[in-house]
Amino acid sequence: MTQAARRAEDEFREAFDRTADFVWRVLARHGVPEAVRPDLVQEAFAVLHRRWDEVATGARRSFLYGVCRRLASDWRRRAHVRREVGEASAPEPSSDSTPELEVQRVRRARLVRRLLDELGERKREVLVLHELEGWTMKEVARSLEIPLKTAYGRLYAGRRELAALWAERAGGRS
Amino acid sequence: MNEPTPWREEDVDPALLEALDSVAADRMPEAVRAKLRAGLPEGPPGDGGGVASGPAGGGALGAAGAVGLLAAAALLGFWAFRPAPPPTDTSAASRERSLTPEEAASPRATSSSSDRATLGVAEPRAPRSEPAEPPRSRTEPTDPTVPALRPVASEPAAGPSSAREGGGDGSGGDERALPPRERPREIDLLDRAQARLEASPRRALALVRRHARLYPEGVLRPEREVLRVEALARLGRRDAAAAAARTFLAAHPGAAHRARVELLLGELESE
Repeated sequence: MTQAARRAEDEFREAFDRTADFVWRVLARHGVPEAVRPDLVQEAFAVLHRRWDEVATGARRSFLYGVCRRLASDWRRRAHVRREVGEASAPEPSSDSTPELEVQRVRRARLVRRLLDELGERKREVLVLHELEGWTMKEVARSLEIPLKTAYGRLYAGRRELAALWAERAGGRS
Repeated sequence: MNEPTPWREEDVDPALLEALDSVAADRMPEAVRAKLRAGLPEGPPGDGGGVASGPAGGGALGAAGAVGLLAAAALLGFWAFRPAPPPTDTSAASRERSLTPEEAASPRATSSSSDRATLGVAEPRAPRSEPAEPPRSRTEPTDPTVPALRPVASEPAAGPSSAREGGGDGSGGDERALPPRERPREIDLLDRAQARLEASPRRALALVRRHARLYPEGVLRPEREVLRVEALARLGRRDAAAAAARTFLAAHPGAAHRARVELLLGELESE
């Protein structure tokens, strides 16, 4: 193997290390149940591997996001399933012995996932990428191929709705 | 257009922000990661030349895998030294040649029929997660098949540190009451703070404070204080940022981040 080829291979593996968790989360948020996720993660990185030369270094994350979105929707079509939310992607408590606080944390995380699902895909995508993944709004807009203004509109609407849903549902139980 | 105002903690239930943070920290279970990593396509990427080494359970970790792991080890050191706004570089680079999601999703991109065969199958190829396993930082070396990863100097020694703080300071009723292994890890808190620094400095600051509450004397204290300076500066709280910078410089005369903080302080004082 030439030196350059080896370097590229290392770089590919580094890209996996950097982005595997992200890919995992994106698939989870697009309703892919945990049992299937490893296959789709593998598929996403196979695509990245094939198209490596076409994807700019800084664009890998957003490339993978697009790939995952597509893989998830293909999977849903094929599996004829509705999006599975909630339990399938529920967080695991970090221990079996759950102090009250941990129980509450898990319950709230589960609730917020459900509420995110209720927002609808457009708003959810923007909200998740910006608020949870820390992308700048420009990156979000570019990756979703929507005008920046539209992205902002969805972000603010998503925030409002999520906060309202939260106030409605979390009030009594948190 | 500027970045949006961060979601302000006074406008929204902090419990919601915290729940979002915990969702943002979701990680692939380590057992799955190890399998997937071992099953990554071999050969140099690009040109359609690589051949996937089979399903995730294939476990073909060759010499190439080991090389990759060394590279991974290099990655461990260290996010805190990253120049502040990597996403901007990213955008410049991606403007040059970035594939759109649609391109990515074109038939060519999706897969050969053999790849597809793996997709319709709902049976997990890789083991499910093991709930008993404590969450681990993604910066940790994870592949159990290569135990000989060299330790990296800047890798935080999270274990001893959390053990040391196991007693907490007795204020109770919050995360400090949790046994060390159930608390968010130092590195995770600060990693998330770093990730949010640009888009949402207020939330970055909240994470910094959370770290300070949980790990007042944590091994990543210097990194935390640098993040604090940056978050405050981004929030426009110049005086507080400058004060934090001076405190940092006085407290950590030999810190690796010193140059960066001095630069920040210079900017804060000059404007």
